[in-house]
Order: sequence, then C-alpha cells, then structure tokens
Amino acid sequence: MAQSVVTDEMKGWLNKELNRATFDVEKVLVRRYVEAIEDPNPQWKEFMPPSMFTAIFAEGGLVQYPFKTPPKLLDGGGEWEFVKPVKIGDTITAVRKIIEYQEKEGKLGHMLFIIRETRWTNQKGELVAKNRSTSIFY
Amino acid sequence: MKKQVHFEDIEVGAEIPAIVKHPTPVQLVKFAGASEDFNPIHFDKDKALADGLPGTIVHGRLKNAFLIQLLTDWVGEKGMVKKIAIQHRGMDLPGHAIACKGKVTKKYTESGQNLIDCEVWTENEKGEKTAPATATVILPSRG
Repeated sequence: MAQSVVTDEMKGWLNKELNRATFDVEKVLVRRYVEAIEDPNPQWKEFMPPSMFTAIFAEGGLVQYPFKTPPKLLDGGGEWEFVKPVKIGDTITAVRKIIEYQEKEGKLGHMLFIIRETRWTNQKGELVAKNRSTSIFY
Repeated sequence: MKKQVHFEDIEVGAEIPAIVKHPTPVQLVKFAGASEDFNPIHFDKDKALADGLPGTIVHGRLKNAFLIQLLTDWVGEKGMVKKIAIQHRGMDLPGHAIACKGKVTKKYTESGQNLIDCEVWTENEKGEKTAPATATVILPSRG
C-alpha cells in the first residue's frame, strides 16, 4: 500500500460546507443541454431534465477543492434523489460537502476516492434534489 | 403524443423499452459545453492517451443523461424519476453505440406513491454493461 495522500488539511474539510452555488435555470441553458444529450422530449420546454442535476447543476464545472489533489480525475458515478420537479425560470442553490475519503490500489495506480454530498433547494427554500457522488483521483 | 404507461400495466420482470445512443466526438464537445464538464479526456486525445486511457472517452455524466432519458421516456409526462444510483464501471468510446436497457425488479405502494424499482444499464457493442444503475420511478394509477 502506497502512502496515504489524505492530509490533515483534507480531513479538516470533512462534513463542512465545501462550497455553494446558485444557478438560474435559464431557458437557453436547458435548450443547449437537451440538444447536447439529444433528448427531444417536449417536457423539457417547461421543466428541467433531472439529469441536469448530474451534470451542470451538479458542479457548475468540475469541483474545485481547497486542497491539492492528484492530477488525474475520473467520475466514479453517484446516486441522486429527485424530490420535486424544477421548472425553467426557477433558481436553485447547491450546497456541497465532503463526507468521506477512500484510497485503493488499482490498475491506474494509487487512487483517491472523494465522496461528496450535494443538496439543492429552490427559490422557495424547498429541497428539490440530493446526491452522493464519487470522484476518483490518481 | 406518446401513450402514458400506468402502474397497473407493469409487472415485475417487464423490460423497459430500450433506447440506443450514438455518441460522436461532436456530441462530446457539445456536452462538455452544455454540462461545463471540461475534463480534457473527453475531447483531447493526446491528454487522454497521456492519462493512460485508450483515447477520448464518453463523459460519465452523458451516460447518466442517457440512462435518465431511458426512464423519463418510459414513465411519460405523468410519471417521475424518483431515484437513480449509477456506477461508472467501464469506459465508452465515441463512435460506438451505447444501448440503454432496463427491467422492473419490484412494484409497490409507499406513502401513497406507486413505485417501481428497476435495474437499468448502458451496454456497449460487446454486450458489456459499462454503467449499471438501480432506479425508482413513480407511475400514475389508472385510478
């Protein structure tokens, strides 16, 4: 087993708010997204496709960690619960924290797994979705 | 307009109507922009090779979207996807078809909701499941 890459600084971030981001669910963002995934469902003219929680509204880009991580990154998947539909025009806020680190040896070498939890609320403060995801750094 | 499926119509073991997606390098670039996932392994072959990958690979998040589309297509306007847990087990390469398939594993009513549990997955051209998932959907009753 190679030496652990989880530092005390990283441990200090466990279960604390890592960051939050507010997104306007704009018509153009949704249109570009459904064009990119090639999903012509007419519902997406009014509602946000739930998979946007697994993509753009998950991260607003890739998560930036306040500490140094190994340089290469793979998406290890995750689980999502969609609690309430989100309409185009809504504003949602994502709050994210790190809940666990794991380390494993694999075919890509020493791998660091960062497990995060995200909760999204809408402009009325209602929970609309929650998630646990794993990022794999190596 | 697609016909709405109802809770009463579904039996355990039933197959979910499959969809087949054909990701191309252009789709990966569009998805990178639309999802703001700019990890270069999805569009920069040199970087992907340098990272030890076989070439540019399909975004795990695009496969999430494919699997959720399989479900939203199936449950229709009056149904809802409640939960999905997705594992990214294998890589998919652009230029190769990805079939999204699923089957019903459980049917029950809980807190007044008509729920269906299912297994869904992406399947590559060799028949390997690259992103297995479990999901729960809500279906309307004929009432």
